[in-house]
Amino acid sequence: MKRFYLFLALFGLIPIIFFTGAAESHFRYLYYPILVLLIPLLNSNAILQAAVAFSILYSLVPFWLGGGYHVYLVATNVFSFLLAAVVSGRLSDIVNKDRESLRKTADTYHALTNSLNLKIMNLQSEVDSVSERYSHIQELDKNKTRFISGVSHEIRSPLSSIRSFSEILLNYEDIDADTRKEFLEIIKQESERLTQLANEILDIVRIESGKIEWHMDAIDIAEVADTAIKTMLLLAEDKGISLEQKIPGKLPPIKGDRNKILQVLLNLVSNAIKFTSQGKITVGAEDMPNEIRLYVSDTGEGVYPEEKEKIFDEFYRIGDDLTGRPKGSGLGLSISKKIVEAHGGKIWAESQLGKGSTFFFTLPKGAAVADEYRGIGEFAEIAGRQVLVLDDSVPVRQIMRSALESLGYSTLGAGSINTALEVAKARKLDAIIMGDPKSEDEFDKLRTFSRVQGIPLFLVSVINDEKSGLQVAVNGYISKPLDKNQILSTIKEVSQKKTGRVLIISDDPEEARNFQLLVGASGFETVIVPDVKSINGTKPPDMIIIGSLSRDQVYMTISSLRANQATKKVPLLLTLNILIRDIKCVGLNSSEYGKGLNKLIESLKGMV
Amino acid sequence: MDILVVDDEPYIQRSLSFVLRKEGFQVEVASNGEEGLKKARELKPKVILLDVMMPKLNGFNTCRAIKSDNELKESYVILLTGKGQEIDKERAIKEGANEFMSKPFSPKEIVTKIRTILGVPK
Repeated sequence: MKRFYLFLALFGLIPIIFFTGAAESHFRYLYYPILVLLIPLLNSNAILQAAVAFSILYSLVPFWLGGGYHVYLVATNVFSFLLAAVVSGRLSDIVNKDRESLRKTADTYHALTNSLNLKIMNLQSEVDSVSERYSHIQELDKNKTRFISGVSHEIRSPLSSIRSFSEILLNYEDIDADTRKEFLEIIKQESERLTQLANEILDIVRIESGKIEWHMDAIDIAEVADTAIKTMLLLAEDKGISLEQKIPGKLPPIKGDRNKILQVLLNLVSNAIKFTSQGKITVGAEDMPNEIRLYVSDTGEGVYPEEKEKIFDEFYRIGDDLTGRPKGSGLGLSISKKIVEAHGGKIWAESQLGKGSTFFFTLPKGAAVADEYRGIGEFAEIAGRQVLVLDDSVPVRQIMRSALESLGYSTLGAGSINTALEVAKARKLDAIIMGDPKSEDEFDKLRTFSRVQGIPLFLVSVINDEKSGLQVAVNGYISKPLDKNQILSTIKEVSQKKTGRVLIISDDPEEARNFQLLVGASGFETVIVPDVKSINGTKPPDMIIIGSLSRDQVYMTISSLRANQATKKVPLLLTLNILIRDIKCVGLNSSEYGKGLNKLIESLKGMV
Repeated sequence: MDILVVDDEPYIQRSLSFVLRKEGFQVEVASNGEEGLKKARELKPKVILLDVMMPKLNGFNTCRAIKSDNELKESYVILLTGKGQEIDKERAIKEGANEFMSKPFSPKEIVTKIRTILGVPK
C-alpha cells in the first residue's frame, strides 16, 4: 500500500505542474505514455494498476479545464494510454518471464552447487575414512608380522632347550642321576611353556571369533584376589618382592566368569613381577558407586607415556628385539583387555617412569551388569551369524559393523541398495540392518526382498558428525501417515514421562498442526519451530520431534541438536515418510551407547 | 681359556656348557653382553658363543666391542640368534662376527664346529 500512495503522489504532481503552466502545448501529453512505458520496468502489479488508474483520471482532466480542442486532447490521451497499456503489458510480460527464468536458473545453480558441495564433502570423508582404514590395516599387518616373528622366537627358545637336553641325555650315558633328573625337569618345564603359549594364542583367537564359553556366576572378588596372590607369591619372593593385598572386607558380589577374572589378575601380577626388581606389588579393590575397581600396582620400571595404550594392543611387547624382552607372548594384556571388556568393564594403566605402574580394571555391578551379561551370554548363539549393514556413509557403516563384530557377529557392508541386494542374494544372511533410508522406493525394495526371503530387516539410526566427531543418533521413529497410537507409544517408550514439553521442528504448517493436535491431546505441552535455528532461546524441551524434512536437513538438524549443550541429551524422534509400523526400529543414542547396543541385540535375538 | 658362552637363557647356557665341558673344553658362562665383555677381557677366550638378543648390551654391540679390542679381536666369535633372517646375517658380518648360527641347534653341531676351529681331533 505504501508504494501505491507514493505513486499516487508522483503521478498526481506531474500533471499539476503541466496544467498550471501553459496548457497550449499538446506535446506535453506525450509525457504520459513515456511515464507509463517506464512503469513495467519497475515490475510491480500494484504500480501498474496505479498507473492505469491515473492515466484514466488525467485523461479526463482536459474536460474539466474546458475549451474547444479538448475533445481532441482527450482522444490523444485515451489513445496514448491504450498504446502505453498494451506495450507496458507486453514489456512487463517479457521482463517478468526473463526474471522468472533467471530465478529458476539461479535456483538450479544453487541446488547444484549445494549438492556438489555435499558430494565433495561426502567424498572427502570417504577418502579420509578409506585412508584411515588403510593405515589401520597397515598397522594391523605390521603388528601381525611382529607377532609372528615374536611367536616364532618364543617357540624357538623352548624348542631349542628340549632338543638340546634330550640329545644330551641320548648321547652321553655317563650322566649322574641328579643331572639326568635336572635335564628331564627342564624338558618338562619347556614343554609346559610351549603349551601355555599355544593356549594363549588359542585364547586370543577364541575371544576374537566370539567362540569362547563364558561361565557367568556371582563371584567373590576377595577370594579371586587371594587366589591370585597365593599363586604368584613364590615367584615374587624369588625376586625379593613383597606381595600385598588391600581388599576391603565387604565387597558386593559381582557377576562374572571367575576363572577369566582370575586370569586377568594373574596376568597383571605376573607382569608386575616381571618389570619390578625391588619393592612391592599391591593387589587392591575399591567399591565405587556403579562398579568395583581392581588394581595391581608395582614399584617397577614404569611404562613410557606413549606406550600406555599400545601395551594393550595384541602382539605389542615392551622393549625391542635386540635388548631382549621379558618372557611372554605379548598377548597377556590384550587377552586381559578382551576379558574385562566382555564383562562391560574398562582396563587402563597409570604409570611414572622409574617409579612404577598401576593397572586398573573395572567390573560393573548391579542391574547394569545383568544387562551387559545378557549380551555376553549370547556369544555362542551369535557366533557365525551373518549380518549385512547397509548405509551410504562409510563411517556409519564402520560404527555399526564394529559394534556388531565386537558382539561376535560376522558382518558384511553395503553402500547402496543394489550392492545390498546383490550381497543378500549371494550370501546367507541372518539379518539386514539399514541406516536411515534415503527414499521410500529404496526402503520398499529392501522390505519386499526381506519379506520374500524371510530375512528380518532392522532400521537403525546412527549419524556421524565429522565436525564434532560425535556419533549421534535418534531414539525412535514416527512413520507417516501419522497415527495417534503409534506416536503416543513411541513417545512413552522413549521418554517414560506422561507430561512435559515436546518441541516440534517442522516447516510444514499442516504437519506441525497435526503433531500438535496428536501430542497435545495426551497432555504434553507443544512448541513448534520451523527450523533448528529457531530453537535458540526457547526453554529446553523433554523431547524433540523432527518433522519430515529433507535428508540433508535432517542430518543437519540432528547434528546441530546433538552439538548443542542444551539439547544434546534430549530424546529425539524422527519422522519418516514411509510406513514402518511392521519394521523393527532401533535408535542408538550416543550418550547411552551401551544401552542402545543391548536394545539392538534384544531386537536381533527376538527376530533372528 | 677355551670357550665363553654368553646367553641370557639359562637353559642354553646350561646345555652348551655341559656338552662342551663333557668334550673336555674349558668353559665359562655370562648372562648378558656387559658381563660377557668383562669376562672376555679377563679370560681371553679362544671362542666366544654370543647370543644376539640379550639385555644390557646386545650381541651385535658386544661383538663390535670385542672386535675393536686389540687384545680380543683374535677371538673367534659365533653369533647365536633365534631368527634365521638375512638381515641378521648381514648385521653379524658387519659387526665382524666370524660365524653365525641360528637356534635351535644341536649340541653336536656346536661341538663339531668348535673342534674344527680349535683344531682338536676327535
